[in-house]
Amino acid sequence: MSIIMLPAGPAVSGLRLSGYFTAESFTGVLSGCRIPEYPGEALIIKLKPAADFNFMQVLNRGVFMDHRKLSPAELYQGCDVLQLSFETTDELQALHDLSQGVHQPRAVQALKFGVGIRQHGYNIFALGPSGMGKHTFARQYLSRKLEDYPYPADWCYVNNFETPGRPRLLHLPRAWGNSLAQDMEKIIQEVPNALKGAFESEEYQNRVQAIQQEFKDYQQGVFEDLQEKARQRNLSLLKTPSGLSFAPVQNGEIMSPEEFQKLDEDRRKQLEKDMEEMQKESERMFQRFPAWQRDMRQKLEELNHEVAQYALGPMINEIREKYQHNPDVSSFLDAVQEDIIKNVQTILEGDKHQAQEQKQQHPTAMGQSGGREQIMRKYRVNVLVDNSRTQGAPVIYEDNPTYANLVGRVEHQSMMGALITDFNLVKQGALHRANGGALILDAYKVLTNPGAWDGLKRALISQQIKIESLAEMFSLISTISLEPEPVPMDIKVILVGSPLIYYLLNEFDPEFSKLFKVAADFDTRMDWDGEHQELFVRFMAGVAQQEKLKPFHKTGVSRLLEHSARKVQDQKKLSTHIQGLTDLMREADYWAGENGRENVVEADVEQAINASVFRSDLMREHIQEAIQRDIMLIDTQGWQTGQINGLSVMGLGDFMFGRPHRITSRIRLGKGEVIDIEREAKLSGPIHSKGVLILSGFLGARYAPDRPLSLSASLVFEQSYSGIEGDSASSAELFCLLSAISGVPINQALAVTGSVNQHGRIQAIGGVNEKIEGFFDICRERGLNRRQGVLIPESNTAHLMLRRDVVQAVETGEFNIYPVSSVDQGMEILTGLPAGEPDENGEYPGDSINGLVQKRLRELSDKRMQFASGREQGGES
Amino acid sequence: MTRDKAFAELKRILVPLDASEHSLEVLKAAVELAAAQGAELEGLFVEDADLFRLCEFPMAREVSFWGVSGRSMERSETERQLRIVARRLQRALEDMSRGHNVPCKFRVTRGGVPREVLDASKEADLTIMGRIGWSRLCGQRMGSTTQAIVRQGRGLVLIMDKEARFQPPLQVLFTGSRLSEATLLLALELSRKKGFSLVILMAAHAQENRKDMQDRVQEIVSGQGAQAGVHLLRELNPQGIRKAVAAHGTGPLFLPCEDPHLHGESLQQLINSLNNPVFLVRDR
Repeated sequence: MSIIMLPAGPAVSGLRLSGYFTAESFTGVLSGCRIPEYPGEALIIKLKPAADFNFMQVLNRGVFMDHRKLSPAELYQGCDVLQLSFETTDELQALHDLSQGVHQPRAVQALKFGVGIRQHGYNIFALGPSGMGKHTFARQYLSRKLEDYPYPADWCYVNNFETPGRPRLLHLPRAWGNSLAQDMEKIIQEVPNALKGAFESEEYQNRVQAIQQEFKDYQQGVFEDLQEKARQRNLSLLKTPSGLSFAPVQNGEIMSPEEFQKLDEDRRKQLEKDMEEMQKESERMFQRFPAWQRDMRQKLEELNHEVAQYALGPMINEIREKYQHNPDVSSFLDAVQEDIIKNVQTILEGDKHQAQEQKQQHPTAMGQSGGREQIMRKYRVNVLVDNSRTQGAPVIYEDNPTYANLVGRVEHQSMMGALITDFNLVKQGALHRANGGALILDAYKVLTNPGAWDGLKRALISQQIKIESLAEMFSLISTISLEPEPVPMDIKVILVGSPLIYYLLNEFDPEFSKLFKVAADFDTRMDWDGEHQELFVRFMAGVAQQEKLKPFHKTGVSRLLEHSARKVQDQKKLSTHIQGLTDLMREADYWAGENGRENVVEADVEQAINASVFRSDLMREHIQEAIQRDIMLIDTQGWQTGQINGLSVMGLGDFMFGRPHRITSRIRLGKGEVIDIEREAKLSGPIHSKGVLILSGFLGARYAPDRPLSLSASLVFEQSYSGIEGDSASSAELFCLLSAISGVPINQALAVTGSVNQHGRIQAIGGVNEKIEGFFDICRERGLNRRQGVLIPESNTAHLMLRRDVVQAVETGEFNIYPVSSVDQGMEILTGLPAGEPDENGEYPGDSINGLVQKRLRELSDKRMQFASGREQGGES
Repeated sequence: MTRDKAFAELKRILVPLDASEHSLEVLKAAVELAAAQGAELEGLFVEDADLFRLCEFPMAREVSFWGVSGRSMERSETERQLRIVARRLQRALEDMSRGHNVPCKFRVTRGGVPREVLDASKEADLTIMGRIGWSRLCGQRMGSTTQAIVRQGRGLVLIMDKEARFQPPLQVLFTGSRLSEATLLLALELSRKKGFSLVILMAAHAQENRKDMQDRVQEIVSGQGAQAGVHLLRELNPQGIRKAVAAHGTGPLFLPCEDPHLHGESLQQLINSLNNPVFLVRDR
């Protein structure tokens, strides 16, 4: 039994003292144990040291070592409210258009370049995480940039009278499309009446009858002539079922064969000859019928042409004059006039059919009046793109980029059980609407809609918008469809997507890099300096105005700025995640309303942040509860050999939280391998495995450069049932391993995060704030005792934007944060022993951590050599 | 003839058919009339015996209007073609009759066409004839079969053109005879059924007869609860009748065929000169 009294002194750290004397290096405290609460306080303790532990030696060397702790000011970059020169955001000049800002210089330059260069293939891919406001940014920038561009043309489809399956394309100056469509509608309304008037006129009927009578007279003349000739030859003209014939007559009656036989031979022969001649004569005459009929039809057509032209001429000419400078319209009008004339009878009969249908109240399957309506459809103008209201070049965002929504489609209508279509059913796509301007698309949606990506690429490569049905392309349906003339395309396409999609496309789609040569990379953060802060605050004012939120008081703005810095985990940066900011502002506004405030103040923002965390942190709560109830074993006090508190971060959507893990290590004689149990169980990712493999390199190089590393060490994350990735626990694993090798216990009131390299340098990791807070929450629940804390990489200090309760705890000395840059430094804090410096022979002091590790490794090496030598000797004997 | 004996007795209407366009148009009118009267319609197709006789001549050839050259006539082929024509006519008759709920039957006979039609018309209450069929091609105004019916037929016969329509006013010739009274009753009944106005062409040769005839007409017309206009004919001859008829349009004309002017050649000339449908009313 020993009674130890430690002298008071300025360098005594309560944490190290208390931790040290409660470690398993002792078999137990006998009496009088009192842990010092502040530096300088004397410790009187009665305890029984472990048999092999030289406790006085340790005390003399290590316990008085000190390490820097971070001050509260280093834990959080606050915004000085006094520097904000406004009371509420209402006083600020609101900024709605982010594209004018300076926070995305790279993206702005890329967009400017991409839009400015007119050559083929310089389309833009705006890449960045979701919620960055890339769509809005791109749209605002492009709208501003393209408003001075020339107005795009109107595009229309009209019937192709020669090949109805290939509708013709009309390219018209802006606003002409609708005008022409209206003019044609007027014609459609007026033509039937005009034709009816002309073709039902007495003059027309008389002329038709005259032409028909001419043919009838001719026909009648032929028959009369034949009949007369037959009569002169004593023959009668008989009508047969499909023509006529000639029969010999006697006494006005057809002669019977018997009577014929009774005639003398000359008479018979004469009659036979006469019959033959008459038949030939008939044939000769009848052969002229078709020519006469053709002639009659030709005359009727000429008459119809003349009358229709007379009826249509003034109407068509009026339109023709209006569009005289456009040869396409002129040629279309010629075709319409020609077709109407060709179909005069059909149009007039269609009118009758329509009347009948109305009388019978028998609508067609298309739900339209069948007769005239159907006939006149082909004279309509299908205005595919009407740019009459467009200001500048169009900037279109298609939020549902299916194949059909991109390149357009040909719709069908059901008629009498069949699917039919015509040029009127050709529908525009986003590419048509954006032609002459820019089209913004979500890359993920384009890629996940069947055929959309291929359709877009085809259009960009060919510089034409060609409407083809996807279903027909894959032979899913078989029906009559159209092949509309392709529309020449001049579009700047802006794909918006995540970096992953960009790099995947770049890697695996050979056409991508040819078509999207410009990458607009959106930064997730910007510098937190005066210029950017002003911009950001004005943008907040813009959001408040646009979303009709309450004005934000400067304290609220200040809290938003701080939260933004926390989001990017950097004291010198602000997050550019627009959606997150907007959501938080909306929620803060809600809470301000709930709290009955006119302006949104800091407390409302804080409440919004806390409420948001509360809504998301169910799993964190469950984990913490499990730790509190010792279901998940985490020590926050005491000393343990080969055991350490590592820290990890879990991400649940937007919400991240940290939690401690117990990492343990065991060693035995072996071949120098460090076994990562997570990796063996296939529960670790490659980066984690890499981190563990580095440990072997560090151990071998530092402690056994000229000897075989003769241990077998195992490392494990206790109570871990899912995958682990990342190397942020590699320093903790190394500390744990060194503790297991040296037999020196580790202070369990501390937790560790940080990666380590082969030279023993501690490197920065991510999620440092969440990790610290995760361990802090556990300690607070169990009661803060001034000795608890976290070791973080020194290079992570600039990333600290800790919660206020953590900062306060540090301020009052209840919690500690140690910046660590090397393994030695970490081990000293964790064990209270000096790390030790090697002498010129590479030997570490025997009572230092490194010395103990070196010693232990040598022992293992010796044992292994002895073991090997014994085996060899045994082999020889 | 009383009213009951007039149209009320029209239970069988005969329509001779020859598949010409004219004949099918007449069939339409016949179906409408049968529907109005509730009569049965009988279609008659006569296979012309002259055609079979002609087939016996080895040199006989059939020349088609649209064929390149003629072909020899064979009995079996002719019979086959006639059967096809008959089937087509039967179908047309049945389709049209069904559309108007008119009972119908169809008969095919073989022989001389005028003779067969005359025989069949004896059994019918009314025979409806197209003015002309195929003979139109030869420039005739009236076909040979219709000529035979006009000259030799008995009973009630309606002769009509393809273009002729039943439209007001009806016209009826009244001579004061018993037959003309029956004809007037017939016209009054059709006028009532169709809701058409009626014009009576009254042939009063002598001034002394005129009053009696007018009284008689008045008596008959009021007896039927009807009204009618009267047109006095100066002379009862085809020319006078034609002029009077022309003055009242192209509605149906009822002719009691007992006057010497309304028989044979002169009746045929009168009918040829008119475009109206003409009812020939004769004793059986």
